[in-house]
Amino acid sequence: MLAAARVVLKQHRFEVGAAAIAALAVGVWALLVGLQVRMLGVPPGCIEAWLASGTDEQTECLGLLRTWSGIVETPVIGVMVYIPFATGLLGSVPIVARELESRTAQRAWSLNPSRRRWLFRQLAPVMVILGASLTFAALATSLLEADRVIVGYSPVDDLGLYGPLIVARAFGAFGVGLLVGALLGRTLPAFVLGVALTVALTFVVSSVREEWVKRLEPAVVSEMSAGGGTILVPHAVITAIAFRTPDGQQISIEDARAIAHTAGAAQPAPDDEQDLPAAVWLERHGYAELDLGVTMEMALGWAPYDALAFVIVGVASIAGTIPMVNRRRPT
Amino acid sequence: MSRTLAAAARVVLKQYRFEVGAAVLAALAVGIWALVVEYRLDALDVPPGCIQDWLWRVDTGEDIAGCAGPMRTWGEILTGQGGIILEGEGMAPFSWMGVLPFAVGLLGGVPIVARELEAGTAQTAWSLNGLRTRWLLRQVMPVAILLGIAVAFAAFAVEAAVEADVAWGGYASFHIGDHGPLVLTRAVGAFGIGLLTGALLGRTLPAFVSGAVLAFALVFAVDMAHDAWLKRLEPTVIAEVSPLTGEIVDVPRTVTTGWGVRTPEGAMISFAEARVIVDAARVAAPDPNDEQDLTALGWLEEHGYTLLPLGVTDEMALGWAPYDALAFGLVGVASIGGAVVLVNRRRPT
Repeated sequence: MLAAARVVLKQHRFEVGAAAIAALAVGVWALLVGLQVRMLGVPPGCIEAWLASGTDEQTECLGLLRTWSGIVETPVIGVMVYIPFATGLLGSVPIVARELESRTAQRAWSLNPSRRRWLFRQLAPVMVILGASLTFAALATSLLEADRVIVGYSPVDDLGLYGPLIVARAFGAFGVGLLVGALLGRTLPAFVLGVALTVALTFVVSSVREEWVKRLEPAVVSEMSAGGGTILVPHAVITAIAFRTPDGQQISIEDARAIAHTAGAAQPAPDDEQDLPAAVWLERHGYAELDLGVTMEMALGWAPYDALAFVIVGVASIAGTIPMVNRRRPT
Repeated sequence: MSRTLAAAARVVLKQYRFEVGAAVLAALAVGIWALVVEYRLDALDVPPGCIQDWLWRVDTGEDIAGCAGPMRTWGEILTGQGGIILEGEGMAPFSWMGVLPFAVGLLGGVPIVARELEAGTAQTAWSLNGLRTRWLLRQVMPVAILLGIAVAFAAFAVEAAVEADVAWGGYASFHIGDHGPLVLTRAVGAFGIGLLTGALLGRTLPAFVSGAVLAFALVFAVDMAHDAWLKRLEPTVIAEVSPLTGEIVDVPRTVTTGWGVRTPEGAMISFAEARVIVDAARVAAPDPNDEQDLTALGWLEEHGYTLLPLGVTDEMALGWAPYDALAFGLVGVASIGGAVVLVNRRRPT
């Protein structure tokens, strides 16, 4: 079993090596950023207390807050947009595609009593190595995200770029790469198609997420009036805009615009989506603009669904690869 | 003879149909998208007087009331649909035109030698040709011609969007490499890198990944050289605080290259020289994480020194274009030359 794993890893050494190194490098990078933050020696609660005070007072904590923000404003989290997908695709695309491309599939499959067992033997060592590398990256980025949240970054904006969701996304991409590789039987075309499919999958999941957030019960998260803006719920996700009448009633943006136009505000130009005449009228007549949205905790409730979506795609794709390997001609 | 060549070209294109097809489709899609943007901008029929230097005129508070409506839609199309082609943002920091020449070049260059080696057909292919160089030329030509035409279409289709961006106040020097012939030189550079890594590694996917890393490193190196080149140009002060109104007055269409400090006596000194003065006043050295040196800035402001951005004009910055073309073109030619040597000498396995 171990000897077989060694052969598999040697066969795909470039792809597995590159993917594992990329995941490990990002993990180490995240840990180094965290270490840099620790070396600042910020007293516990210093930054949180300064932020909670809501003042502009120039204190030592403000200086530390700026330095901390500068350190955690690293591209590590941004890079995690690509790493799980690149890792998953690089690891899985060549597993079947390379055998077909180099015309060794016939020999490899005839040497094994069942093609399914052959596939399992190929998958297991690659998945173990990449899974371990990505788990390390997931843990390291979780620690970094905790440091980012302290200085005001929203974990909702970074959802999917830290923690266990990274592994789920990589698993989804792994399945897609395996299936496309088995289907096309050529590594480079399968990789390119795999990239296109994972981009499409991510787009679909993001769109579903937006719809899901909009269906949650919204609350007023910030208020804009002539006197200025007030944030009532920090880190909230805004889902709609409404207005508060001078009598204190909350009305929808459509109702507010209708009131403004009935009262004499000019009709907007065809390309004026913001309906500026109505907006100006409402502000002058004491209507306050409200941002409706959901709290950070509510928005973070999407995380299990995000993981589920990618895991389901991964499992379905791997399951789809099995009959394909079982049935296709080895050429 | 020409019929034989055409038949050979057909075979080559059939052999790499996926990669060449994907690259051509990508280039055509970007080109068509750019033409749609141009059509939509033209259809608005905004007077050129409104477009000219719009961004600068908005900043200076000039009377623009008559233009505001049409320019809002015009700007939305340019920055929305046109922005995807020319500017990266957030989680997707690379624009389409930033990625296209490299993706097309690598997709076209990588499989030409690598696939023959990977599929174990190189021995047969090479033994059927008198010269390996001639074989390589026959493989490269149809792919290079087809991809060249597709990339040229995209590169020239995007010209109108770049012109529109420059007309309303953008910087022409920011779009070096995003349009026109420079896109082709970048594609040649990437094609050469792909061909060489493919011949070296003999496996398509590893060669593609290595090629992408090398192309990224090349872009990074050229960007560094660009920054160093800009800093060697004679700079001028590009923004000042008006002593009469207290407003910040920008010199239009200038690119920041560094910072200078004006002393209370009116002399211009560099920031390093100003830091020496600050050190002499026994102000603490900056924190290692404080890249802006806020302590020095605070001291200078308190003592009547003014920090001023220095830069060069957009026209001067555009002088980088031939060097950009030279860098990518040279890498492409050198890599193709390296691939010829490699193909001639390596074992066909």
